Amino acid sequence: MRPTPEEQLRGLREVLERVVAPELHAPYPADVLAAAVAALERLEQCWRTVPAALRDESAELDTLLRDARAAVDRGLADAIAEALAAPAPDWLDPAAAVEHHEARRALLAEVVRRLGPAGARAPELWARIVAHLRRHVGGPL
Amino acid sequence: MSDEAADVEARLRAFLADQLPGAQDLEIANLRRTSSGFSRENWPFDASWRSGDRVERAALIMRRDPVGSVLVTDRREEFAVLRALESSPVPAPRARFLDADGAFLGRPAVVMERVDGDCDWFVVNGERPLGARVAFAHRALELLSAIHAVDWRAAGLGPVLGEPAPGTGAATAALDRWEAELRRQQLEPYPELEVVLGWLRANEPVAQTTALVHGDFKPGNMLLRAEPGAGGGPVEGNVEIVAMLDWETAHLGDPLEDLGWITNPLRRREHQIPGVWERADIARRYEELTGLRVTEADLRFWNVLANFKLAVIVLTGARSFVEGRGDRVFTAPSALVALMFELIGI
Repeated sequence: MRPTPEEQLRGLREVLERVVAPELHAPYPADVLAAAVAALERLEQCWRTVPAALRDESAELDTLLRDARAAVDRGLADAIAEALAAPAPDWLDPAAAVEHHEARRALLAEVVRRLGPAGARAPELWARIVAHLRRHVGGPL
Repeated sequence: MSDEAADVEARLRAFLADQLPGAQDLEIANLRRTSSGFSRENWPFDASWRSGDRVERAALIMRRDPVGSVLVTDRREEFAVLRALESSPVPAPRARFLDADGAFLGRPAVVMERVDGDCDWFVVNGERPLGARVAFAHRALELLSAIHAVDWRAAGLGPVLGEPAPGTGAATAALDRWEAELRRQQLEPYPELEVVLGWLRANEPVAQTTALVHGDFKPGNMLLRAEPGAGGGPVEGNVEIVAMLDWETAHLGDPLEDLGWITNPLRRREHQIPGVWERADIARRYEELTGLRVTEADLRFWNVLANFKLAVIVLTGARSFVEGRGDRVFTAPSALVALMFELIGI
């Protein structure tokens, strides 16, 4: 599988820098191209780690959500239970992995809102949620 | 000339003809789009026209809403603020024409007079001598206090911008505005921002007064010029502020909101000089200039809100990009989240 996605991304970036950038004299398109090149470089560096990052973070979210059920109202607890009972996605299917991860984060956002400022209703759980969010603050991309 | 520039020129020609009834031989020259500005398109140009026997010439700039912006604001409000500033000591470009709904220019736009001057985002930490940089920093803070002293009631800005309720009203209004924007723009859930939002709601400060708040006060939004010396020549290093730009986020609120913006740790290089002009120096001098009290708790609230606003702006850019309306790639506001967590002590 050559060029690999990583090699293609690097090649694309280099072509844009070497061939296109010197020909752009108007400031706005030159600025936009520089930002696009930087974005390609970022993708090139991290695209391979995304599926594993989504899987690992989703597993941590499952644990937090499971423990959060006792601290939130019945409606949200039931929604969490239903989500946790659903089968895990195929982690090699990027769209399914993103959807699963996003659904977990939506439930966690709801838990955060219900626990109140500084997690007054469940301080220990709150500390674990904050630690989780701090650990993953960079996100998968 | 690009197709886009040709289209803008034709639109400007029709718009100016409508705004200048009786004008003849209208000419537009040197029209170009600058790279500056993430939220608005900036199109400087020169216009001339004949009015009776007189030939009028004007150096102008059109600021137009882009197809996809990182910030949703109202050109009517910007135009009203610029008009109000004309009778104040605050240097700002003179607003000439407003196309509020974009009937002529394709999208809402303001045309204002172009002011000559240089832009230097990092002037306080640039190559000028320390004395000149400190003098500039003081001058910038004096300008901020002059903005906060604008008699917005007399200028009729109350009905246009909306006056917040006393007490915590300004903080509540600012939070309501930016939370609503977050809900409109976010493409995915953000538990991190829910944590920050909860903290902000629980820590709203009481405003001591209601003032005209600039909303994006920074050297990057100022036009600068070398100060003339006694003999008329430039004084090495010294700069004066000839115009304060970008009034699109101006509103009525707690003046400490602007102070929180300029003491935001993220923007230290734009506003602070290490060891000489730091957070505490800025707060102390601001108290002397305005008579307002600046507490660390208030400043921290507005620092956090400043970063929350920036995070929402990044998410707005991300939505524009994903929907094919923006030219730049925006990803998650991770660094802002990390800083907000640090500021709120978690």
